[in-house]
Amino acid sequence: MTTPAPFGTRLDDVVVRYGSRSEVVGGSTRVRREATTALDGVTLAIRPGVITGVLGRNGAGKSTLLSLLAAFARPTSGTVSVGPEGAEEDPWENAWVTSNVQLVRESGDLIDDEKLSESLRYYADLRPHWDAGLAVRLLDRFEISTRTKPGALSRGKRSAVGATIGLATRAPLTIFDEVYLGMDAPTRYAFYSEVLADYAEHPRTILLSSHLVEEVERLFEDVVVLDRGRVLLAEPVEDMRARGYSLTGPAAAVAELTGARRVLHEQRLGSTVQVTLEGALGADERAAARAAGVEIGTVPVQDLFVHLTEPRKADR
Amino acid sequence: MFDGPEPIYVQIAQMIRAQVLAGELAEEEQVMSTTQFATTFRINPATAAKAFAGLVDEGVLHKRRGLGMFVSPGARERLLAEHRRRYFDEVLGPALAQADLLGIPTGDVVAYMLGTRRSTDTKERS
Amino acid sequence: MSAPLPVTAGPTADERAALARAARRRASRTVRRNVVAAFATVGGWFWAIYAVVGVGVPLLVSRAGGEMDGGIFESSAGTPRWFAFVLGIIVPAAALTLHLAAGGTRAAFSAGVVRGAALAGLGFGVLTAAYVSGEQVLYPALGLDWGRAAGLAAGSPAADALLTVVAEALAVTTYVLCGAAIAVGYKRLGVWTGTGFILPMLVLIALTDLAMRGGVGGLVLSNVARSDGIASAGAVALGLAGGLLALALAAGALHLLVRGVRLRPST
Repeated sequence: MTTPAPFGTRLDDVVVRYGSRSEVVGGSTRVRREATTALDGVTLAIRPGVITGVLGRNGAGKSTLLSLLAAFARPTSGTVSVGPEGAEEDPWENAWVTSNVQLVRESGDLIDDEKLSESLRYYADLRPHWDAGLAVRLLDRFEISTRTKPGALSRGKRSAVGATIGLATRAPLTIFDEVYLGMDAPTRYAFYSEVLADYAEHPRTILLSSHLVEEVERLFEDVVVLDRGRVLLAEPVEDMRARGYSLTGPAAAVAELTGARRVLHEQRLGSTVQVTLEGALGADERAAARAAGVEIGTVPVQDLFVHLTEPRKADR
Repeated sequence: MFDGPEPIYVQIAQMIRAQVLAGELAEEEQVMSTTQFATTFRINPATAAKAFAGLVDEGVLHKRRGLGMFVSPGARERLLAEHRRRYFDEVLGPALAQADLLGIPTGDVVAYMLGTRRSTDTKERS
Repeated sequence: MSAPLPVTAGPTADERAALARAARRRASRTVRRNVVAAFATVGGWFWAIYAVVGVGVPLLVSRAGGEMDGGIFESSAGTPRWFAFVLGIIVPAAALTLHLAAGGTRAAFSAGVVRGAALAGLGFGVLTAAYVSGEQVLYPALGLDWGRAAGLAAGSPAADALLTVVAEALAVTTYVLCGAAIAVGYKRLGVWTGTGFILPMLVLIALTDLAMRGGVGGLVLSNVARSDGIASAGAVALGLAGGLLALALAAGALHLLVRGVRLRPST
């Protein structure tokens, strides 16, 4: 069995609104009914063959974005295309694309009141690259019996079933949307290891959305950060890591070095100040910092994520 | 593991260099594959591959087709030589500059070094 | 330098089209199999019980020296159809989310449901004809009257049985599709509009009943018109055409509803 070409994805000015988006025309007045905008003009390309992290606060639009790629939903406007490089197509009702895209949602899409084996058989029947042996091995590792009814599974076990389906499907585009929920730490680590092992053996495009940034950032090569329906950044995770640094030292020296830079975060402990700044430092500035007794540090991706997606004061 | 400030691939390379220097990885010994490394440390295989590629460029590791990565002959010696060379520029130089700044007489520094050296030297010989 | 990825060229446009066809086939076949399996097991139980009642009641009645007016089948006014309708509500829609999550298209889903419903309908049609023929033999043997007021008739017993198979197959398929459409309607349109959508589906059910003189509608019609079924070739053809129309409309409604289904994020 050959490994199929991994899928990339492209979104162009994609808008998704939920709720009534109809404009009721009453006489000459147009009444716009309330609608939530889940994605607000997203333009984004996701590289094929790479593990990309999709980060964002609750309601940032992560699940909406991912559901478009698997044709679970359609954008209100804009275009979505998915496929091997150079042959991307609209996934909506496109059997070639959808049979090669696996979105695993937190809910795990299973038939609750029938044995798990029934749901698995469904996936096995529909998925062209399904690896039954891998599914058996993973369920065994996660200690789940196929005779159980999914409705009776704990949240963590359900997530583990989702992880199993996502891996055994071997889809050229595999998406895990908050699949770790309810898993205990050892199970999560097992999940991450299995993802990496199978990815190394069968390269494909993997998208992983998570809130546990610290735990998963090293799995990623690229990262996409969504914020209130928009793409805040989409780049290699190393670049994101270089987006910020911290200065720790006497308040006056730190203030001088900070200058007009954007301060993401500030912490005070007596006369010592620690600021998190956006951008990178030049060699001269590093030397100046050292001379002034100011320590330069890196900022964990988790903190960068938190600071970058913090509602700005002007918005409040 | 790999919680330092540098990019992760830099830290991985540092760890392997340190293992070679300490003799934990002998010359001609096989190192973990990218995949093994990635799954063991839960790191993206591309990140691990980047570290290994850098080490190949440095001559610390070499690739054998179909077999994997191995520690290059003479790698430890080369790393030692390089670290020795950099020791004065990067470690001792700044330390002495700091001593000047603080007004510590050179004699005190020398006496300190002789004192500590002696204890480690004897330790190493035993 | 990144990880050494084997560069596999993506399939050509022709290959993609072939893969898409194969995927659609796999998906609709799985849906069809699911529907048929559910009808075979649950429907099997239903028919077993129905047969016990159908044989047991006339036996008891004849022992007690009573009389019966017509058979159980006719007086129960299309119970198998309603049973199929309920299964139609429960079975196909339950797998819709799973189907989409497993990469099936909406079109493959509705195609699979229509085929599964047709096979289930055919099975019910054959069982109905067998059951009715059984009554026809059993009742005179027990000294009871047997007659059939509703239904399409062709004159000879063999032709009647064949007509029963066809008419009941069409009707049951329509019932199943209407049930499935109602269930998907709730998913797609929400509670209010979904409930409102039941009405047009009941109209289609009435159409199939009335056109082929079966079920509740057929019973009512035969009581009102006091006609002994319809036996003229033209009337039979017209009845079957009405049944086909109802089926086509139900399939079309299901297809249109399924085509627009979106799975929204759970949050």
